[in-house]
Parts: sequence; C-alpha cells; structure tokens
Amino acid sequence: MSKKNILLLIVLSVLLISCQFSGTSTTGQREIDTHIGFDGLTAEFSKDAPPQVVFEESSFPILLKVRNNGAYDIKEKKGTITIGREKDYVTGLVQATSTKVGILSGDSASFDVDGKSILNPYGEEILLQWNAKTGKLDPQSEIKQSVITATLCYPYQTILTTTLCIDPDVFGLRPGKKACNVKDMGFSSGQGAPIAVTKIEQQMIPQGDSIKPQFLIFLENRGRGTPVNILNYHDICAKPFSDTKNLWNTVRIKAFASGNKQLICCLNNAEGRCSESETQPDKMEGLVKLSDNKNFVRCIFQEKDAIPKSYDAYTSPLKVELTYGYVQSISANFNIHKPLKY
Amino acid sequence: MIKLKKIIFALLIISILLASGCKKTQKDPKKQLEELKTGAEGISLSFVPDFPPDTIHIEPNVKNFEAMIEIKNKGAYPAADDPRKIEGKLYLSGYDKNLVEMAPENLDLNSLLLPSKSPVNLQGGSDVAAFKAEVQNLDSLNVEKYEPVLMATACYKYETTATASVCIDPNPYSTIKEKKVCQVHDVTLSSQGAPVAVVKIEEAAFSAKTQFKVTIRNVGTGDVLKDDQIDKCNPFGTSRLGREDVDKVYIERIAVGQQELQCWPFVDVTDSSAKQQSGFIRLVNNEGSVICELEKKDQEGYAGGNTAYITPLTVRLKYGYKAIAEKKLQIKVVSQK
Repeated sequence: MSKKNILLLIVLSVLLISCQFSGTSTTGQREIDTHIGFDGLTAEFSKDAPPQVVFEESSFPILLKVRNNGAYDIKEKKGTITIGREKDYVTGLVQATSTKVGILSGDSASFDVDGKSILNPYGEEILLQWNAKTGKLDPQSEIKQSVITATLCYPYQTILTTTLCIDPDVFGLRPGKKACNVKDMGFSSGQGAPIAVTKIEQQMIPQGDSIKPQFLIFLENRGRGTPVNILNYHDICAKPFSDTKNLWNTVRIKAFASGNKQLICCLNNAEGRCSESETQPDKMEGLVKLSDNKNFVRCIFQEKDAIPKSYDAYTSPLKVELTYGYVQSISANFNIHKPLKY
Repeated sequence: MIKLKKIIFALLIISILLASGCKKTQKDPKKQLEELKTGAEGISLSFVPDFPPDTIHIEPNVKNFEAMIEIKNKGAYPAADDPRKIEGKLYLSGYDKNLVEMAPENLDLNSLLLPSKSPVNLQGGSDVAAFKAEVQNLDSLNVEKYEPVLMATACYKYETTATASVCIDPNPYSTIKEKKVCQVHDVTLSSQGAPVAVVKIEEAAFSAKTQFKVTIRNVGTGDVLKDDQIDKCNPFGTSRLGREDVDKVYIERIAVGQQELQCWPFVDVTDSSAKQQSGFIRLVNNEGSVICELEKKDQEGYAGGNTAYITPLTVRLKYGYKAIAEKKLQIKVVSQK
C-alpha cells in the first residue's frame, strides 16, 4: 500500500470515528397478527384419495385434509363432518379415528382443530380418513361416475378489537384540539374468520347532560360457506333432512366498550324488535340475519354507562364478538369401473 | 524531508477536520441576551422519551407505568424581578378513566420551577411532571390491546410586554419646511418571548391627536383563552371551554411614555365603541387589533412640547394559553396461556 493511500485511510478513519452517525438498529420480534383474513376452515380431498378410478366391489381410501386458517379454536369435538355418497355404489364407509377425530356415525365424524396462534401462525391441519367400499355396477354398465361430498359444520367466532373515539362534544362546538375525532372505521383485512366486520360507523347520541355512543357495525360473509344459527349448526350435518328453515344466515353479536361494559345490540329478540333497556347480558346480544351475505347491526351504550357531556374526547377499546355456526361443502368425482374379466 | 512534510500535512488536515467538522455551533452570548425578549413560545410541553414507552406490556403483577412530561418556560414571563410564578395546571387526558387510573389527576404549574429566560438562564426554566398510571384489573380490559392517545394539556396565565419607539409629531400638517428628529411611521415587531405578540403598530398623526392601531397575533402553536377561564381546561371537569372563552386577550395597558392611552373597540362590554384604558379584544384567525389615541392638550401640546420627538410605546397583554403534547401508546395484555 502506498503512503498516499495510508494517509487517505487515516483521514477517512478520523472522519468516520469523529463524525460517525450513531444510528440504532432494532432487531425486534415481528408481531404476528392471527386475527387477519377471511378463512375459517379449509378442506380438500387428497389428490389420490379417492382415486380417479376404482373398481366395483372393492375398497378405496378417502382422505380429507382440514386446516383451520382462522383465529378460533374448534374444541370439544364440536366440529362435524358428514360424507355424502351414492349409497348404491359406495356401500360402506369405515372411519379411522385419532385424538383429534371422533366417530359420530358411519358417515359422520367429529373433530377438533386449532386456529392460528403465535406458536402456530398457519393454523392446525388434521387428516380424516375413511375406507370406502364400492358396490356392484349395473350389468349393462362398464363404468359409473360417482361423487363424494364432505360437508363441514362447525362453530366459529369472529373477534374484532379496535380503539374507538368517544367525543361528548357532539356538534364540534368546543374550541381546541381533541385527543381523537369520531370517524367511521373500515376493516378491509378481515379478522381471521369467514364472517368479517367490514365497517363501524360511530355516532354520539345526546341525551340530557350525557351522551350515549352508538355504533353501526357492518358484517359480511366473506368465506366460502354459509353461516347458520350457532344453536343449530350441528343439525345441518347430523340431520340432513331436518327442517332448517330460519337457521341459515344467522349471526349472534356481542359488543363491549370501555373494557367490559356490554353494549345493547339490536335487534335482540326473537320477535325482531329491539329492547334498549335490557340489563341481562344474554339479552343484550344482537341477532343478525344476513341478506346477500351482508347486513349491519346497531349497538348502543347502556343507560347507566352514558358519558357526561362535560368530558373531553377520549379513546376507548371496543370488542365485537360474532358467534355463528358455519357450513361448507366440497366434492370429489371418481369413476367406478368393472374389472376386465377376459 | 519530503516524508516529514507529508506527515505534517496529513496531521494538519486531521486537526482541521477535528476542529471544524464536528464543532458545536455556540451562539454569541451578547446575541443571546438580546434574544431574551424574543421567541413565540411560552410554556412548551413534551413527553420524556420512553415515559411512557410506545408499548406497555401489562401482566397481573405489572400494571403500572409512568408518564413524564418535560415542561419548559421558553418565554420572558415572569420577568426576573417579578416574584410571581406561572399560574395554571397540567392535565392528562385521552384515556378511558374506566380502564386507566392516573395520579395525580392534575398538577399545579406553580409547584414547578419555571422561571423565564434571564441573563443567568438563557434557556428558561425547565422541570418534569410525573404522573403514575395504573391499568385497572386485566379482566376489565377485555381486549388484547388498547391504543389510547395520551394528551398533556397545560393551561396557564401568561403576559406579554412589548415596547417600540414611536414618533410623536405635533405638527404633521406644517407648511413650513423644518427639520424634524423623526417621521411618523409604522413599526413592525416579530415576537416578545411569549405566545401572543404585538406584531404591528400603525401610526397616524392628526392635528389634535396621534392614533395607533396595535395589531396582536397568536404566534404560538396553542390556543388563547380568557385568563380567568383556565380552570375550564380540566378534561374531566364539569364546565367546558366555550367559544366565548377563547381567542380573547386582555389589554392591560397601552402607554406612550407615562401616559396611558384610550383605546377601542373592546369586547364583553356594553358599548364596544366606548374608549377605555383596558379590556378584552377578540382574535379572529389568530389576529386582532385595537385603536388607541393620544390626545394633544390644547395649551401644552404633547409631552415633548411642540416639536416632534421619539418616545416608547408600551403594550402589556394578559391572557390564558393552552399548550398541548400528544403521545400515542399501546397497552398490551401479556397472554397468560
């Protein structure tokens, strides 16, 4: 190295040492948000189970992969799956059990599957396995196309937590800057469940010397199935031919503001009316019937939780819980061949 | 020999770099003394970094955090020889009282050391106010995280004293060509070490009087209040600031030399056109004006006799002021699963 270069190096070193920019690097752990997306459970038949071609009077495997892509855990074997088949051509089903899967009947199974968590950000996947037996084809038939369906019925919950603004200055007459401003909130990324809260409109309703905040909570079914009443979801899979009228597209909603202060959500009774004076927690739940996969519900502060008009604006947490059953189906086609006998 | 020269040259460069490259720029003390009565700030607030931290993790046995606010008096009030202290209160708001308990609820500013800028303290007084916060029981939080915006609000009384040299001409319409020591002209001012400043004095000389239009502006970043209404700033109090309480400055005194001027128009009086020595004026779009008159006495003329003279015009303003600092934080409940 020439002397010139050494000199240059010294000068540069001095510059770097003396006027060094002291930047700090952060190597913080990346936060995982499990309450995101529009999926609940996803199910798919294994590529070769059922196989594309099976033979009459033989057995073949059915393998179904069920993954919980949402944020809610299905526990206590509350998930139900029913296999639909053409009973003349698929004459028998024998199910394999595991710790996560239980038998309900030959064609139905119950299961647990955990949702996404910090420890498992992809959600749990379980395998359900059956051994099916084909029947005899018609004497004149050489081949028969058949179909197997899997219908999943499971309870699910959407939980949204957000921060809302409570501003007793309803008409914005107070001078000066506020800690927050009341505005509509949009949620385009979902909450890790098939039914999503898509928007919340906030309104501060004046009432004497206080205000009662009110929220219009907009819901949408963004999943690949249909919601059903949480109380009857099991019947859809267990009793396929029972009367399911008025069960579909029903979601129950509970909302809490300012910590654990439950809001009264309307409509909240079976007659389709709203009682704003309810004090019993279970009667404060709203009942929403989705139409074209959408609807909204109105939730309001209880009388006793009204906020004095003299307060300044402040932020407060809001928690919305949607509870529903969810039903979705998939199918797989396969061909039953007569074996060659010559 | 050449080698030695090169080394000396290199050392010279290094010395120059060290001496000039990272040198802190120090202000001329004389200039700093002149700047004591300048600046557009009174009390300024800022959250002490990491108090509270951006994210607070709450566990069953760790539910407390501390909010610390640095308060500086960057203005010129109270003057060094004035025994008064800054009167006012500091409040914290923006959080849900059902979830977070803050102690104390507010803090008296006169309990803090907040002298104004002075020759011995060119930066002004500075102190730290501490609030202890406790998140109520975790079950009541009911969410995994809560993101309040902490807002520190200081409402205090402050004063501005502005002085400018004005020219008083008893014979503005004189037809005789005579040399005068000064000519009547407008004076523009910038700031006086306070958030409300006198920014312009427009002068008009008449045969029997001299008229001054004094323009006052909120040059700070906060809100001007009536000085007797600062208690209404309490975010959890029972009375609120209204439009009638804000953007009003009390003109305590406008004087030319020792002579107090009669001014108008004032608000909150029965006859707004009545001339008086003091009263409130309203700021519209942060600016307001008052017109004052110096009457010529028939026999004696002005204080300087019948020739033009230069004299100080003093304006003293009293007002309340509201300064704000904000901090967004995230309170996270540590999962017990």
